Amino acid sequence: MKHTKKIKIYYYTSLREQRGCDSETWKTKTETLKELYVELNQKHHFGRVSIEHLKVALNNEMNSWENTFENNDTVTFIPPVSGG
Amino acid sequence: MLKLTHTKIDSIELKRSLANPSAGALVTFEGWVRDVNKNRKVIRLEYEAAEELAQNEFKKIEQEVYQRYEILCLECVHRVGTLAVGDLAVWVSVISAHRKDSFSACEYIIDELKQRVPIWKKEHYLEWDSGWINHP
Repeated sequence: MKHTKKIKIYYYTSLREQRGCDSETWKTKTETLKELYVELNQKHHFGRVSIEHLKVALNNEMNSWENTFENNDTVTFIPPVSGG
Repeated sequence: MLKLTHTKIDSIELKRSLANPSAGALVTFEGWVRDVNKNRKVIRLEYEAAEELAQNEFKKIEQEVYQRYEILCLECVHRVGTLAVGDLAVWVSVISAHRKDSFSACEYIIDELKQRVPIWKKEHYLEWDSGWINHP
């Protein structure tokens, strides 16, 4: 049985502009980071920014879309970077 | 280490802080805000960073640099917030006993930073809508 997890999500740049906030607490039964993004995209409609354009971080470390997350984890979606 | 700052970068003071009697070479890269990109007149930039994540990713780059090159010290400062044309956006410096390690390390740092560290640039144009660079 899948348990509901409560996590903190951070949005930057175009995702933040699309979502209208820079972070939110989210309850989900999804298991992998990829499933989580698909669920959020269905709810919030991130538009042209698809998963192919993004990287993901878990608890402030870069991570893989196929990995799972736990209750109270922090997830950051990372649009294409352009520092420098 | 990576320092993210909302205020102007003082490159002279930063350079002074790197003084080391064992250093025979200092190589610095400065990234400046230019007034045109892809034929569009740029009037200002905004930089945004996922600060803790950026620090963590830069620490990995730093470890890689120390493994690859014989350097004594490196420093990197990146602006966040609104910048004007001509402002210094990023400053990277490396010191080493010999020049080749400093040149190579400095290039590696800025190349990896641009590809990996979660810092983003939004350009504001004179005659076009503003846009996040590299975004679809």
